[in-house]
Amino acid sequence: MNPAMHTQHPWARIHELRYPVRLDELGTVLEEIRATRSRSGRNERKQPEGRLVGKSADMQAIRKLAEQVAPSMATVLITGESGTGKEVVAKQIHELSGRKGPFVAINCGAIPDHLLESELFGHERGAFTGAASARAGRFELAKGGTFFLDEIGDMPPAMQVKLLRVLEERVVERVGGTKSIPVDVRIIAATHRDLPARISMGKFREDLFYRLSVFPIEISPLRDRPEDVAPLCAEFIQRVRDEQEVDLFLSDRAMRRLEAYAWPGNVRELANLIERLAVMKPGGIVDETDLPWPVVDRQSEPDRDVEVLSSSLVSTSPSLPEAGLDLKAYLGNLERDMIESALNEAEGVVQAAAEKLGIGRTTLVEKIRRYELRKPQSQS
Amino acid sequence: MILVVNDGPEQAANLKSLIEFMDTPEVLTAKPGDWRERVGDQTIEALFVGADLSPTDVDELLTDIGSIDPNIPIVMLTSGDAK
Repeated sequence: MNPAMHTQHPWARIHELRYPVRLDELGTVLEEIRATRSRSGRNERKQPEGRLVGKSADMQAIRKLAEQVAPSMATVLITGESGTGKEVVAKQIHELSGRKGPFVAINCGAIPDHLLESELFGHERGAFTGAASARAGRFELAKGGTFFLDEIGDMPPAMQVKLLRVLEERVVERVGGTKSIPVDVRIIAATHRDLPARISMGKFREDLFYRLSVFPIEISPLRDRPEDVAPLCAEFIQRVRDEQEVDLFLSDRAMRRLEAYAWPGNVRELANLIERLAVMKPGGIVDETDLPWPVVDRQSEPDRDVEVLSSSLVSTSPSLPEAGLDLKAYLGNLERDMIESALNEAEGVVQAAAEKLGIGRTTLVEKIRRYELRKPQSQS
Repeated sequence: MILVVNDGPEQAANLKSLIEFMDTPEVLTAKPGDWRERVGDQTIEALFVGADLSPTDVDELLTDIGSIDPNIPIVMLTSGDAK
């Protein structure tokens, strides 16, 4: 087997069978397939990908919107920051739609411009160098189902025109072909970009925007709905239990920290954190001290800097000069020296220096600016 | 349904008989260019990929299958002398 196959298709569960096929080997492969399908089927039911988790008013509204729009053929435009779960919402709409065809997805921002047309619409044999056989595009693959166009805001302008035509006429034409192929497909598009802003910049077609946003759904960032953090944690922990057969518990203090965190990577970041904690503390109770930076950002601990400085002062047992001192200037100098030492030790890497000092990166950058310090090596 | 995609009709038919013999009755054979049309709305349980398919055909086939359902198990047939 071509070893590049795993690299090109890392998702694929590939078994191998050699010609001439022996019955016992075939039997083993079929058994493995059945076992895998049964396991994944069990997990899929429990995984949050297929359902919308959260008790916030926003999530309740999104669930209701998904239910309302699902049975129709209306084109849906889902917007929200990266990691908020736009594809989860799209899949939910597909599940509720009752459409028998598959859910086919494409990331418009991840496919090179020159390949996107062929991926979307397919090509005829000999349409271009390397097109040894005809191939159906994703629109055709999604026949009878749902086609999810992720990162639509990154679609090149030339392709936007062609997509608009498909939306208007419900037919596609393969690259190098002359035949119009009707497509029975429900379209859902998503983007983290501000499409009206891109329209004003001339990067996105206004007519396409209105075609797509027949039924707009906006997913708010996780930081705006902290009440969803606990149910999401419960879901991700359940997933870890199912997949890795390890247990994980979060203390109340840890949960409060998670709820207070801003989650710039949104739900995806939370899922990754739970997975990481399952590796670090399998079967254990996760307390706030087990949470990594930046979830426990020392910036949110106002007494932290004072604590560090205090312990340093105690350890060096400074004595008060007879003439007294300017405490603010003294502490400032001490802080400056500590930052300089940390930067030297960290060879100028601000992130590493911030961790040594137990403060956030942003805080450290501000302090470097304030004290007009120069990094030994500008690596970050 | 198990899908066997192969360019050679004889090899595909042989494999179909063997799979059916193993109590897996629903097997569909197709060529790289027509499998989607033949599958229609049916659910693919597993994909058997013939040894005689070109690397480009295999790559495209796996890309298309992955976009439908990345959980579909794939069985790559290799010629007897493959290591």
